[in-house]
Amino acid sequence: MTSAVTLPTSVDEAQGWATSAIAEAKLRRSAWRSGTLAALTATAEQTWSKVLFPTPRMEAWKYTNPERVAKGSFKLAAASSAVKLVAKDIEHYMIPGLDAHRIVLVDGVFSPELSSPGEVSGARVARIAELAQVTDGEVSIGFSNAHCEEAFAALATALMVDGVSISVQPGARVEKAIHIVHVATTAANNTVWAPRLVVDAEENSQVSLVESHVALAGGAYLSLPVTEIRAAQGANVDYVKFQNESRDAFHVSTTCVDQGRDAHVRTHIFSFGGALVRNNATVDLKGSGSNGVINGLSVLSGSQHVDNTTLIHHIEPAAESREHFKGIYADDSRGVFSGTITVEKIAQKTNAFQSNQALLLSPSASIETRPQLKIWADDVKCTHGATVGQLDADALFYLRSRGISRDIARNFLIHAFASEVLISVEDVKVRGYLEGVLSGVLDTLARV
Amino acid sequence: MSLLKITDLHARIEGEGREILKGINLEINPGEVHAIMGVNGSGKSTLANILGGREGYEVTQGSVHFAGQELLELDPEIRAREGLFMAFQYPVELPGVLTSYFLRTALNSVREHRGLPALSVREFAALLKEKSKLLELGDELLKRAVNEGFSGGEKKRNEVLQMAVLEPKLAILDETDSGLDIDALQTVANGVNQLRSKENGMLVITHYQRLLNYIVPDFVHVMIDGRIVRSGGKDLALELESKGYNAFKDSVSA
Amino acid sequence: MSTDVLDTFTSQEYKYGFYTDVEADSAPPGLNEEIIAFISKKKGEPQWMLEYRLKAYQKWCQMKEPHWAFVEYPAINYQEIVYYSAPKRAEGPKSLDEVDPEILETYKKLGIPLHEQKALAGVAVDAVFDSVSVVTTFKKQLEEVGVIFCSMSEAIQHHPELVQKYLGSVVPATDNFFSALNSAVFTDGSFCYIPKGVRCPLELSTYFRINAAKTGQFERTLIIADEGSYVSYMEGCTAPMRDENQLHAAVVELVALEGAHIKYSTIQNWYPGNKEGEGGIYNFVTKRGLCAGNNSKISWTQVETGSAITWKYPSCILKGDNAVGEFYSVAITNNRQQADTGTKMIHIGKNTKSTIVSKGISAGKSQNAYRGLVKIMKSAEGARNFSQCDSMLMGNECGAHTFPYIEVRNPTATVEHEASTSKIGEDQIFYCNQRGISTEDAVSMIVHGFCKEVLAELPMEFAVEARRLLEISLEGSVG
Repeated sequence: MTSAVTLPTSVDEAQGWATSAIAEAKLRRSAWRSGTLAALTATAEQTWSKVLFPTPRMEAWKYTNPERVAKGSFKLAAASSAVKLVAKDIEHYMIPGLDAHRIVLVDGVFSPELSSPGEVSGARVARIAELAQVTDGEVSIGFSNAHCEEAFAALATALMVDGVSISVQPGARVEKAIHIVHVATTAANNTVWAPRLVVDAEENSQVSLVESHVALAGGAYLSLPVTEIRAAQGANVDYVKFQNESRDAFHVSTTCVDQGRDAHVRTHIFSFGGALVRNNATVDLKGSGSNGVINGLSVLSGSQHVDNTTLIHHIEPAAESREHFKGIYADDSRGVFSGTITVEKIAQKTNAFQSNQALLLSPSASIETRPQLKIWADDVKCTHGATVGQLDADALFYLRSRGISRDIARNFLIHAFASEVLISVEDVKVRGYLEGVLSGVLDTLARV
Repeated sequence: MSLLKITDLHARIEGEGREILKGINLEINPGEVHAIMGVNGSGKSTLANILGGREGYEVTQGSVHFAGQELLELDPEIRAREGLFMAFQYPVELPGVLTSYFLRTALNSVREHRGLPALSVREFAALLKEKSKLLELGDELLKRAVNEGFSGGEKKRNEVLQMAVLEPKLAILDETDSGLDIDALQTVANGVNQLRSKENGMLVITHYQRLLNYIVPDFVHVMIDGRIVRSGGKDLALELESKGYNAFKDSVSA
Repeated sequence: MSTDVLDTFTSQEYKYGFYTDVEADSAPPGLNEEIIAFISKKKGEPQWMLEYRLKAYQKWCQMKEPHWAFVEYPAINYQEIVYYSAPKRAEGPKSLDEVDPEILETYKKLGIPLHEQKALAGVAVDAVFDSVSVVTTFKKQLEEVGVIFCSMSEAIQHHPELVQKYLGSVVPATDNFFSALNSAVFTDGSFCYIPKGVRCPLELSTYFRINAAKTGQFERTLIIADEGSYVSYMEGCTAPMRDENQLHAAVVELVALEGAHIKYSTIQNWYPGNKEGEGGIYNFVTKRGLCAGNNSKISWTQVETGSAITWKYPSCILKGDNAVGEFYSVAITNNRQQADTGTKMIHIGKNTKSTIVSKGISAGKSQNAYRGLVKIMKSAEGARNFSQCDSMLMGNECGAHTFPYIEVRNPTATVEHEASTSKIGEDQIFYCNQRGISTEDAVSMIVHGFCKEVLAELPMEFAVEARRLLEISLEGSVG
């Protein structure tokens, strides 16, 4: 099952722009004093210099060719965006009714004007660039090594100049949600940024986060966000990643979840925008009784391409994971799902469930799905399922026979298909907001 | 000679300190039906499991004699071949394993142990037909995989049919009434009553008196906190039903 | 469950590991153009065949051995392998009486006495010993209905037009490293042609056996089912116990024309190596069927219990409209065996349908992987696939892995994939014990239940053998 794809000649091109961007990032980090961060970025630079730029010849990139990324020419986003935004400009991206502490990054750079001032009760929310200068050893970062060998994670870490660090105190229940908004402006074209979000939820704490990636304008920029979540014993973390960017944008994200004993983490990944999106997500279940949920929904049209590549790693016994990814593909869009569940030898009594469902709405849309199980323990329950299909003709007919028009019936069924992922979002306000966005996206599809 | 003789049996779950059985004494003679009644956690299922030979329990004291042998030293399949049958509270499913094939393998294992020739497919089919007719159980269950997708009632009927085929000396019915509606309960009880004889014995384990209306015992034992606190005739069950278990609690300390 | 039971069964010896002392006529080890010419000359082949081989060899020289499967093994030295080994005889036997008695004895040990087969099952057997077809029974009866069933060597001599037309048409020499190697050096195999509208009256069968030391087996099978015909073909394999690893790189090609149905069943029981993983066959096989015509059907059923390493994906190319592809597989690995097996279903024609049922059982320290591809091409309007891949683990030192690939390029397609992993429950064993059934029998029963859907697909003659093999392979190796 090897595919005969020729090695793109663009590897050197990628090395070219990346090298200059990394040099620029280094320069910007010159005031940093944190040994932890210095070591992390140094390792990443080294890794980047050694790894090959991904091509479809590599198993992990079999169905996604990042050649266009390699061939681009991205400069590190400026230290402050040329476009000055006011609150009104981004109002549209706020979640109505959500009591949230807001952190806004414009073109990859932290915006003090647009972010909420003040403290968050129960947590320390800080800019990584500030922590890096003031303190040493207090930046908890780089929990998970899962993606260190991965080219884009290494590049993102080497390009890191800022980010957000959230430490939730033991036993604290953070009442306010934390909403991180990444906005791209007209100045974003041909730039690259790699914002870091680090969430360190200490024992028995609870926190809810939403991360939005949105764009005010078109533009071929490259976003390389890295999110690390550590949930210590008994911690409870809700994380929603929502992406609805420019149709020309490239987005390669890395999400690493690290769960201790009895920790519960729910991750949701919504991908609606972008020319080429790749989400690499890893959930490490390192404690017994931990429960990891990772759900995703992609709705694509035009020539969009979204690839969700996930790894659920059962490292300790008696943990549970549930994974449910859905995709709706219209026009010439292409969806990829690569989900691996690995159960280590000692991880007995594991309970792992994975499902992937795709809906193809057009003759030229396509889906590639690879649900994989790697099981080394015998006393486990692991199941995965994948289905690909079109709208149920019987259901469609049923609705029409009740007088509902074809288009509405279609829309109705598509909504129903998508809503299964939406309803698992815990926060009602966040869910409501996402439903609104989804409706807008689906309406565009229906009209096509 | 008695069929089953339990003497001062003490037991606990392997690796746990607390005793669940705290000195059980019980003797069952051929032809007798005994009932053990107790609430959840009284130790009655533990007793059934230990008699059946399930792993995970540790006998710390006492002995069990079955048809003249030291029962606790035998592997579960040998106990079964010697004529001890357990009707399970929750019979497991064996996906893909045909009930008739399963039962023939079981019967031929038992027959081999008793020095009898194995039954051919044809002979076995005839036997099954006879037994299911006797019990008025029908034979549609035999064509399905063991307990797979069976309703609660079907599972219990299947247990009784197996009992009929294997012709045990002693049958232990563990909470056979659980999950059954009144119709199903009657069907199962009728089947069990058909199998009562002068030669064999039965130990009926139950929480409620209801089952004992249909399978009428010769002796009733009340079990509380790992001990048999009262023994008597079938009327004891009615007394228990009207007074409740609490009334018998005092006997524990006595 | 007690470790005694595990020990009893993991220590099961390979029962087919006897070695037959027959004088062999062999080529020196190594591979070059001279060896190929030697093989071709030995077999008295026409020039076109030699050219086919040499071309494949040249391609092979440019190819690299692939390593993407979930298996590990030391490097194979292709120059140490003997590419031709034939039992020494002046001429091919004309009847069973002429066959070397020792070879017949070997088959008896395998449980396939050729003499008895005539009377018993009515199965026509082509037996391949090392690389040469020894005898084909029932040739006469088959000839009467026009079925051609003979060794590949004979087919090259007597049916060159069919061989030239179809050889390499489904698995081109350049398809992969091992198919190129096979195309260059294959020494024999089975050939089968079912004429239009004929329902082959017998189950056709081939037994393969590797006997000589340091010998690679590279047989080639080609089955052509002409329009509206039906054939059921069975293939069985064994090999003697040896310390070194032996390579088996066969190629099987099936062609089903319009309305034809080919049912291909395999019981693979090559020597798996000893408990420490020494010795055993590397079973790197390319099997592919082409549903060339409309309404054609190809079913693969396999029971894989042997080999140190199994690496194969019997596949279907569903080219004709309404074509049906099926794959039913039981793969059992024990001790240090490794298996990476599955199928590819390539949907090209309209309303094509495929079914995949794979049951993997891992015991001991073995690794068992299912790898499959379901590809729905743009043209495959209304295509459907259903896949079910279940794994069962026995003990805590083995692995079970599932790697399905699903590629869909047509929105009217329906693809469903389900997979699960489980073990034999202690409560299930206890339940059986309580009915007087020994743990060994209980495990065997539960495993059979697990594999039932696949075993049901086997022809009667094979079902019995499969049952026995399953028992030998792992009955009771539960931890």
